[in-house]
Amino acid sequence: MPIDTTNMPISGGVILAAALYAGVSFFGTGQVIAKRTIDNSDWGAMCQSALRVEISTRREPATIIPRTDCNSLLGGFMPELGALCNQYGNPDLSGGTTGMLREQERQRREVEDRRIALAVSQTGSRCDCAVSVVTQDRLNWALFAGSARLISPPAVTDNLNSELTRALNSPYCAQR
Amino acid sequence: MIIGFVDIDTASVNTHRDSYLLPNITVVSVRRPFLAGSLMCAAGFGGFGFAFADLLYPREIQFIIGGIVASLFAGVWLGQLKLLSRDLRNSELSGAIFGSYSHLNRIRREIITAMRSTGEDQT
Repeated sequence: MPIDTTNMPISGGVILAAALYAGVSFFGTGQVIAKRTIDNSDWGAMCQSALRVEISTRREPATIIPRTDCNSLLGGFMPELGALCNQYGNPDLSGGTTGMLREQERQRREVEDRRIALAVSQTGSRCDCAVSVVTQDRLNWALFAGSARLISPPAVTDNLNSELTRALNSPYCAQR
Repeated sequence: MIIGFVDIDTASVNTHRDSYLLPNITVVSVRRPFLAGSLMCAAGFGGFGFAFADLLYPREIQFIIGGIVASLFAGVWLGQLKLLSRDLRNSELSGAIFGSYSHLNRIRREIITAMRSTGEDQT
């Protein structure tokens, strides 16, 4: 059954224009304004530096491996014995065990450095994830853009940074 | 320019969809149905462009200005001719023909002239 728009208090043309404007705000202009507002807020740089700090604090402390060469062990007590050690090539008194431990530690550090470098290189995708989560709040962004800033939902203005941080720490983005 | 077809003869008005007997037509109306909507869109997008000029590229602002001009032009230019008769009361109004407002206004006057001459012939 066709709808008779002539009996409505508002004409069909106005309803059509309102629907068109709302649609453009919801799918088009709202999203454009969301991305550019976040870009202008320096969130990207702030997010990456915060993540780098967070990743570097997760570095495991270095294992302390005592020196077991002759001079270090005996020279501390009696310098003469240290000098004697040096005369005989300062041999390692652990029988090569500390050398092996030191090599293992070096390899462990290398693996961890690679892991941190990888994590740092992926900070961009986590930050992008947070941006994408916040811009998915289409209704608030559409209200903000469609009303030409007359309606300013706190989630997209005053609380924007906290919303981005919350999205960044959410399980969805933390796994990126 | 009109979208559709209107022919006026001595006894009837024939559109691409319907034919109306001249004595039965009570109202011939020409309106700009999209003027209010186009004004609304122009105001909305104008406000948007003004409020977010700091975030928009120059070509986007140009596009918005172009859109506003086109929207206003379409709202003012586009008209709708309706032929109403007593028989169509409380039903969907039919006989809507779209076209340029000035052309439809000319057709409206021609219909009225034809109606007058039909009325004079009957008396």
